[in-house]
Amino acid sequence: MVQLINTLFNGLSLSSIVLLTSLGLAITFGLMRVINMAHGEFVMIGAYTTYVVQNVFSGFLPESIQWIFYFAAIPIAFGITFLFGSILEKLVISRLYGREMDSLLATWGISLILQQAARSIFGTQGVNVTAPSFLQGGLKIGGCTFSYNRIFIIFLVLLCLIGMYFVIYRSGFGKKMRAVMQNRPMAQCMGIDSRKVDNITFAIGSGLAGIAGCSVALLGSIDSTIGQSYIVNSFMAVVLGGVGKLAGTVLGSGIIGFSSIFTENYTSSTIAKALVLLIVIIFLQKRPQGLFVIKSRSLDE
Amino acid sequence: MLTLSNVDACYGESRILRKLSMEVPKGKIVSLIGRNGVGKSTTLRSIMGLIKTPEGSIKMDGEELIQMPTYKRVRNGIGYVPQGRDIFPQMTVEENLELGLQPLGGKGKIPDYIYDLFPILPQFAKRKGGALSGGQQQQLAIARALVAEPKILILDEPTEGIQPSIIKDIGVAIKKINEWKGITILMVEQYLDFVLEHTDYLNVMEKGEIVYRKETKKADAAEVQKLMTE
Repeated sequence: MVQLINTLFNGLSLSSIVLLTSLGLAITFGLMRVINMAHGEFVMIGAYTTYVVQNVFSGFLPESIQWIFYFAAIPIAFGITFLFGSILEKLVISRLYGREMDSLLATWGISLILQQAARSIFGTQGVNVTAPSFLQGGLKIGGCTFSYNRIFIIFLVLLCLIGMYFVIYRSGFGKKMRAVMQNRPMAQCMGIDSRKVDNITFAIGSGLAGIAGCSVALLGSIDSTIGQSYIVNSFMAVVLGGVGKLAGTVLGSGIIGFSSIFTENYTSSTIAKALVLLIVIIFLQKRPQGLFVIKSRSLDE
Repeated sequence: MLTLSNVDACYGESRILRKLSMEVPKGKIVSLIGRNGVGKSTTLRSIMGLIKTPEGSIKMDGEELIQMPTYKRVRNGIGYVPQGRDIFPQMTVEENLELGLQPLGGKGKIPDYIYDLFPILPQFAKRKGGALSGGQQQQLAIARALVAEPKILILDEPTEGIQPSIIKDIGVAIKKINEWKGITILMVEQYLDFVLEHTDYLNVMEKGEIVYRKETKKADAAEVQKLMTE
């Protein structure tokens, strides 16, 4: 029983991490149909931002309140990756709409540049973020231990989901965003500057990757390839859930997270990854549109 | 009001409009008719900036639009109802209407006269646009284009695929829009009786050019019919 509860918690934890790294992709890939291979590097930028903020804060804040750095790092990481995303969209992506292979290659090149830049700035050795003291350790119930930082990440994911829901479905910008994604020429005929909406939408997706970077910084060492560890699972979650549907990404992340943990219990982590990939491939053979289907027009100009 | 001078329009390599010139007088209802494929919808799409117009001039109230992006043309006072309506199917009727406020910066409220023109819309406010019938979608599309009270309303085949009773309602609504608000109307239409009943001027198109133009009441219906079927 204890093992089952631990497995379920680990599944939930992994799902939430996959979901957090997938949320940005759900926007840039799911809604805009841009295959952004540099998405993982935005996660990396978020993680390194957390590290830098930690170092800056430790220089002038007394130790007792240094934990504040982490809560400052979240909006700062969002802001920096938002800005990076906006610049990338303006300089590169906006010229490649409707040319998926070109955007894939261009963003892959950018991901390599960003990785090398990180190596040049921070070195090849991994760096660490010290979690605030109240996120260290775990909650013990019976024989089960639920680590605080993973519980925190689950709450952070919920917060991001609620935020995204309000932005997409309850805000004026969300209305414009949905209009542009559903029917670009008609959205323009409503007086919407679709290029501006594209730019902000892409930047929001990138900003979410930055927040994901803050959370994965709590889980282990940060290096220039940290984003690569999450990007495959994230793309799988979005495609499995059904491109363009937020609920699909949530379910897709859950399936990837839980199936990884359950198969890991009976095999090794390497075989578990291969098995999950196999499950996803078989599923998509049967249902290429994913779990949820949405009628959405791509950026076809 | 709206003046097109020597406009060329292209889809890729093929030129659809050839030196097209046309005048839409302020406060009038003007129609553009002709057989399929002669460039009627292309003319409207050119006015909206949805296709390339390498040559010519499109002016509204003296202001040149030809280099202007679509959204700025709309903010300058053009309302557009495309062929096939193009409502946003996953948004509610209310959200579709609220999008009509975008030319005003997304602020303000939907004018009451919209609901006077189309009393069916408030009943379906929370229903998804895609769940409406063709006629209801057409009414929604016209209402949406009117929310920001444009100077000119452009309609592409408003009666296409609509049942006769709703066509009548749409005709009445177009007249009222013109009379109540003084909004100039330019419409592409294939349904000649509708044009003869509801417009002030008619233009017949042939191979990307206007080959016949007249005040509707002075037009020879038989001659127009012949041009449309030849």
